[in-house]
Amino acid sequence: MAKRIGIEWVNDYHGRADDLKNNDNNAKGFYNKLSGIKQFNFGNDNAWDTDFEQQGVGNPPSGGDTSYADNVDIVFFSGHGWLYFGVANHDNGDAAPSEMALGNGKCRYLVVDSCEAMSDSGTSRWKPTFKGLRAMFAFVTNTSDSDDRGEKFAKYLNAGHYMDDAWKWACQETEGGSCVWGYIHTLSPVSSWNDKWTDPSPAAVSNPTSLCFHSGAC
Amino acid sequence: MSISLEFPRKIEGHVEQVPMFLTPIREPDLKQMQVLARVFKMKGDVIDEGDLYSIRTQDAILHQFHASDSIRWDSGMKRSEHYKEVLKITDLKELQAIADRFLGANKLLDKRASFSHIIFGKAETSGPASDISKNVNTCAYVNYTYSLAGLPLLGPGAKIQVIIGFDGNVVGCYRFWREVKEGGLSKKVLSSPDIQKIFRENPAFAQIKSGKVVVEMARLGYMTLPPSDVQGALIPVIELRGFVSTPEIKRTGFIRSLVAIDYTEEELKRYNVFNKHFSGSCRIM
Repeated sequence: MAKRIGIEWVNDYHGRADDLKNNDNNAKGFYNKLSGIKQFNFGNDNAWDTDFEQQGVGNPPSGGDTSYADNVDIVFFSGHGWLYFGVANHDNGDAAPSEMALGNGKCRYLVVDSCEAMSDSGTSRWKPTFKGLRAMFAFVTNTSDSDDRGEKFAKYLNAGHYMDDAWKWACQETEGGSCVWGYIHTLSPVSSWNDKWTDPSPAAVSNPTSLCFHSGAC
Repeated sequence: MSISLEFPRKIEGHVEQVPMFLTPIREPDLKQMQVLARVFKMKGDVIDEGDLYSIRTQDAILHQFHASDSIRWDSGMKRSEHYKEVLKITDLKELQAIADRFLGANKLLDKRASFSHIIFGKAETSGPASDISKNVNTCAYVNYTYSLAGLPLLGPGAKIQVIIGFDGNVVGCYRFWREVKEGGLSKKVLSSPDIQKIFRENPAFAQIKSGKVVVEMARLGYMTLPPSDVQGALIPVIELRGFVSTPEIKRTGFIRSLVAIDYTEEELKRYNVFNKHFSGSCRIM
């Protein structure tokens, strides 16, 4: 069955943070390159934190992931990190890991192309988000405002490489050597270590008993 | 408006004039790819993937990029459960020596590149699986950076990395580089006050009404593009690293580059960097 793709990106932060320049191209490059059904593309003021959040979780408890982030196989966010949005009038403008529960719907993979989403510790921070999700791709350190990392990642995914290799190579090609990429996958009861985008749709790992976080230099 | 801007007293490496380096357009080189295949003992068909040649085997891949003199070899695709394995070598000098030997043996050493730093690859597991270490170093990334005319080459397009696996064997490497030739031209570098003025007037910060912008590090270097991109010249830039803090978001980091020279419209096109990365009069990426 064909896989579904969703992207959200933010360049305009309306003074909540400094504006960015390339997140539209970065996310759209991923969207247009990756094989699959293009389900949603929300940018700037149309990108909302609630699109990633579980209804009733967190404070404020708004959330609509069942219609958006958790209604596609892979969702890609490009903006300020972790997941900071340009508008805060739907919830609080920040999709925190504790408010996100992905995979109890359709989502299997989360890409967070922003600064420091996996700083400190990967697994403890993001464990609440893994409710069926199989893997997540992000950064440990700050990153530059790349305009084509998403496209490069999609190219390697389409070529049938392991998903973590695809992320590592895309990061190598778009960052200096001091930047550190991060990757979390489920370890048990099912390991998603060998997942490829080109494989048939995998099952959700509903209650992962352990996760594994990897990091390495770009 | 109450926004404060902190800028470092000194821009690292700042000089008055810098030489320009051109980076001639390169043609895809199948013969070179075949030489590389022998060096890395890669057997298989060479595939033209559009922006690079590749050879792919069960557990390794070799890439040669068309637009630059960049290569990557990665044999880390043996999908063993290596997150259980702890890196046996922890001595930094020993790791560097292994990387140096590997680069020398494979003719990847370059006098313009020098050892920079080592970052350990980590694996951290959570959960009840008691046979798995909690947080371990699994491999080492030994990094090298390039410099020209005493200035660092910044961005993704000029760097070398050797990846050393848990057992001390090299499991991957890349060398991202594009050959340069001196353009016979030097350019005046903007003064520090001018750089600060341009940064202060950057539209990216215009909407921030309250908070602070802190530039923690500023350094002069040459911008390099991704290995798959054609680049006409190495552009002198000031790389700025820092963070923004506002009442709404406590901290967001940034890495920005500011073109450090004046340029003409003709140079905009000829150097083939600005179009994509620095649009028109906007000097900051």
